[in-house]
Order: sequence, then structure tokens, then C-alpha cells
Amino acid sequence: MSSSVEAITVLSSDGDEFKITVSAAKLSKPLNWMLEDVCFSDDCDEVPTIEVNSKTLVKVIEYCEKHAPRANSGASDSDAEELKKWDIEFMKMDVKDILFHILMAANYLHMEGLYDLACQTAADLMKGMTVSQIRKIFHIKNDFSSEEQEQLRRQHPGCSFD
Amino acid sequence: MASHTNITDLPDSVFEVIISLLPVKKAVAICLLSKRWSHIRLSLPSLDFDEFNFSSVHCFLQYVDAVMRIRDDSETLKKFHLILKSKCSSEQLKKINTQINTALDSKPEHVEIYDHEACNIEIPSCIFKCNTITVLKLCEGSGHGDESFFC
Repeated sequence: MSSSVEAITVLSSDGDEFKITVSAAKLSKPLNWMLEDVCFSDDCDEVPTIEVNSKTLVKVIEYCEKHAPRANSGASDSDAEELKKWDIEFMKMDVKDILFHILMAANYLHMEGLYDLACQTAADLMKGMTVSQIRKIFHIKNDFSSEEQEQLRRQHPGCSFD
Repeated sequence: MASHTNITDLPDSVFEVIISLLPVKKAVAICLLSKRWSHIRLSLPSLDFDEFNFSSVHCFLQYVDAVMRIRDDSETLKKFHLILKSKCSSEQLKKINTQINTALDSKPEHVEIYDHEACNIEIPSCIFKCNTITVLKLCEGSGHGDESFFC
């Protein structure tokens, strides 16, 4: 059954309530399936929980609301260009704090556009770092034994374990 | 989800997508940061070999050889990019030809080969029969407008 309301309420994993318009929620495949299966009305008690924390969910909803008009009705090239600029600004976030949460949320909510955007942002970020910076910033422990490191060095001359 | 998510918390399938957006030299180096990811270097879906990231053509070809040798050829290869900036000896060209053939065995979808010094890389004729390829770019020249795209 399809929804008769314009917006629904969802709960974050922290238990906070958020409103999302139906057209924005449709950007997520699981939310879209839910909208098709459940009749949401103004007196509906059903408040689905999304296993995403509040801070991340705010950003995900912001993305959905911005992209929904284009996703639902198509857009001109200038709109697409404007949206691209908006995406760049949107992704200027504290990486350690939220980028990987966004990535996990986009994966979990089957949101292709946001997932691709977050993957590209993560790749661009790593492109700009040395491998030892990546190890340090993301606290990646070198868990190879010295024998394994020696073997890998033979396979890949010049690789570093610092 | 945990309150703090790090790159190490990402599922391998997500990590692989990010890694496939990087040049292969960086991708392999990142895979070798931890045992958890080291196996991913054997099945990278996108191989972007760029000589501009290496100090010499010798190092570059040694690197290409190392990656192609350990690669699991049963794994899908989506993209194969090879960017050559230096003049090569005939022996080096032979090695390049072997690597292109190895890549073609993995039935790639997207192949781009750039030869900036126009040293006549011998492109295997089977490249034109490889029916998995949807994008093929073969380019000779400096990259400043005098390159020739064959396809």
C-alpha cells in the first residue's frame, strides 16, 4: 500500500526522531520498500528505526532532501552542475568523525549516489596522503611478522611497513 | 553502528570499491598496511598502472610484473590502464606486450593504453576480438593534442 503522507518520522539508533519527506526517503531502497508495504498516515504509530546514529542520519537526510527533486523529476544540466558543487561542499566534513559513518549508512540504506560520492571522497582523501600518514591517521597497526614483511618486500620491491 | 567508525571497520566489499578508485601503486601499498587487507591486492578489479608514479621505466615494469604475477586471474578485471611515459627497449616492449596479454586473459571491460613517447607498443590483435571490452582507448604521443585514438 502506498503512503498518503508527505513526510514520515524515523528513529535513529540513538532513539532520536527525524522527519523525512516521502520523496527523499524514496532515494533509499529499503525505505522505499517500507513505504510501499506500510500505510503511513497522520495518526500512524509506526516509527521505523534506522540503524544509523543521529549525527549521521541528519547528514543522510540532508543529502536525500537535496537530491530528491532531481531524482524524482529529472533536471537540467545547470541543475546537475549545481548539485555537483553542492555535493563537494557537503563532503567537506571531518573525515575521521563522520565520512565512514556516511559510507556505512549509504551502504546499509542502498543509496547508490551517496555511496559513490562517499567512496570517491574516501579515495581522494587517501590519494592525498602518504601510506605512512594513512597508517597513522587511521591507527592501522602493522600486524605482519618480520618474515612476512620480508616476503612481501620481495614480491613488491619498495613497499614500506613504516 | 559503532559510535566511532574507522576505515578498518568497513566491510571488505566497501574497502575494495574505495581501493579500486586509486592508482594501483597506492592501492597495493594500502592493502599491505594490514593482514586483514593484504589478500585484496590479489584481486584488484581495477589496475591503473602509471609510469609517472615511478622513478624509472625499469622500476615501473618491475612493479607491473610483480602485480600481474601475483594476481588471481580468475578474478574479474574491470579496468586495465597502462600509461607509459619513457622510451623503451625492445626487450621492455616485449614485457609490456606480455602484461597486456595477461590482462586480456582476465576479460577486462575497460582498457586504456597511453604511450607518450610513441615507442610502438605492440598491441595484441586479440584485443579487437575481446568481446568483454566496452571501452578501448589506445593513444600515442605526448598528450598535448597530437595523440591518436584508435578506438
